[in-house]
Amino acid sequence: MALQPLDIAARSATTTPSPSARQGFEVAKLIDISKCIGCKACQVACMEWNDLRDEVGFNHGVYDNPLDLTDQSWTVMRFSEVEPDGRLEWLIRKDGCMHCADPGCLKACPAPGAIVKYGNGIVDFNQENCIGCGYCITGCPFNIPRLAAKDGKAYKCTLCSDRVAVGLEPACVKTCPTGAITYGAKDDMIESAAIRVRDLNDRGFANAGLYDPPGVGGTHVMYVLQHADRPELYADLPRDPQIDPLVSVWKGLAKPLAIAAFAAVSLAGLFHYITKGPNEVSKETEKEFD
Amino acid sequence: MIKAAGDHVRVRSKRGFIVAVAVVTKRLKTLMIEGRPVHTVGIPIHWGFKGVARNGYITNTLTPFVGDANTQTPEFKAFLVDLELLPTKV
Amino acid sequence: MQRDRNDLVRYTPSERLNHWIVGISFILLGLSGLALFHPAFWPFTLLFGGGTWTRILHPYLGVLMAVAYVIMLISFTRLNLMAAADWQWLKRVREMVDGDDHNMPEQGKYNGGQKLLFWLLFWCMLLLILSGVALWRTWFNFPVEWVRLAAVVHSASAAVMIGLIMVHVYAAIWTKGTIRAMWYGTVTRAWAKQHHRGWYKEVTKEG
Repeated sequence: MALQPLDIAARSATTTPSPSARQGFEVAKLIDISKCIGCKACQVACMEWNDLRDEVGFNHGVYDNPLDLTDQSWTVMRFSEVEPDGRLEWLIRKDGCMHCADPGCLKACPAPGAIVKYGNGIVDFNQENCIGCGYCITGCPFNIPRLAAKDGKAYKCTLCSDRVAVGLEPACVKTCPTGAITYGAKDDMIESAAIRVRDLNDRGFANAGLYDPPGVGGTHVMYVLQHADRPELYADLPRDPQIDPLVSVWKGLAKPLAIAAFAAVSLAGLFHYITKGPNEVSKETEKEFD
Repeated sequence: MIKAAGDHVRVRSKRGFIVAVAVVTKRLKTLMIEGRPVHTVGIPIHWGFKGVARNGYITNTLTPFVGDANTQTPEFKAFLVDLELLPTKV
Repeated sequence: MQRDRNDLVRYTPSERLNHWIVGISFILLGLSGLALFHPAFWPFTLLFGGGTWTRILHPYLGVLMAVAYVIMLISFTRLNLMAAADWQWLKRVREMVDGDDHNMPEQGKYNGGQKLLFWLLFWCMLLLILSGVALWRTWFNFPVEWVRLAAVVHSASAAVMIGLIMVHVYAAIWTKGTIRAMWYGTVTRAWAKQHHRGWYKEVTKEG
């Protein structure tokens, strides 16, 4: 939901600047996977704050529930039992929108104002402007947005933009019992992540690190990973996510190229007509039939 | 009999049986007791035929009618069961 | 004037109806497609009742156009097969564009340029239909990598096709006496003799 206190840094299908006079700071949600116990309080808090209820599903033999994001589940825990160094580890990742600085969803969206990026970095959907085409899903490197069958609109984590706009922390942050999810200025989150990474190094995780992928310009949801060198261990977290080159072409070069082509063909037709004149049947041929 | 996540299994004890969905994990290691492998199975106790979510078998079908005579504390928590793979899968 | 008994029949009423169904659905698809492709054309969504309706209707219009187009393929493919004379014509297309078609190789019902357009449009339509299906999330759920490729193929083919149709429309306007063939079905004998002598000979021998 867009509230006046949040200025807009970028707007879907809009070529001119949006209101962005105010100079606030960028926020970030830091998810320390090494502290997560998989209790799903964050899933519950998100449902409670946003009044969402997903269908009662089935037990598919895994702790993941629901198995995937939906229009009613904007965050899910993904459980992976892996043995990266011969030791069994149970890695639990909170999946949801990464709030990229260069959002693929925003780039792909054709509806003006359906997707906005606020000055603080939060990427939000304005479902009133959404046409339900699903281009956002096509553009997202993390496969996050989901279309609702009921109203044909796309939904995803809002980073509680409504709470943030009035100075509160997101619901998941507030409720996390271990403090695995923290929130604040992005710079501060990067600093606290660095401290935690050193702590993890001391505990034997030599490759611990911060997941803040540069390929999408950095994200406003970051992870502290015990194995930052192998993000794919965490339920296929992409190693070097970026907006697919096909999407960049489709929403980049293709647009001015097509317009130039249309203009060229139209002008060529105009010039041709005014220089050559119409192609009439010649008088001699006409006379043959009179 | 290989069990994959989501398989249906019949869990049988001396008192009866239930059918449950198998959640397979490496986190509970197999014990070797007197040279024989003994696996550990966990079942949530708060399940039954009435509830907000899905209905299911009552875990208490399996538990032994054993208790401590002094404290009246029932010994429901640990008992032997046998597992049988069923052809259905979630 | 349109009912001159001497005029030759070029298109039957069903051929004309089919052509205009293809043409009108193309225009609606082009307008709705451009609205979804480029923000400058977003106002075209007003023609369809808003952004959501535009998104809903576009693929159904595509189905309509595809069905009508298949009928057109059935009717006209044989007449558009390339022959040696057509490649000759294309080699000398410069003269034609300059307005001098008196020395062009004798043409059947369709000249080399028209046949070339026919086949270019065929490839555009094939790519548009296949990529369009991949993009139609209402009914289909393809892997996202295919959908990304489909988005590029669909936009590129559409842009090319819009350009080709602009050429097609221009050619019909430029060559006087052509549009009435698709409105009323007939052309003058002089028109036929000058522009499609081979066809003129065929039709007048029979008729």
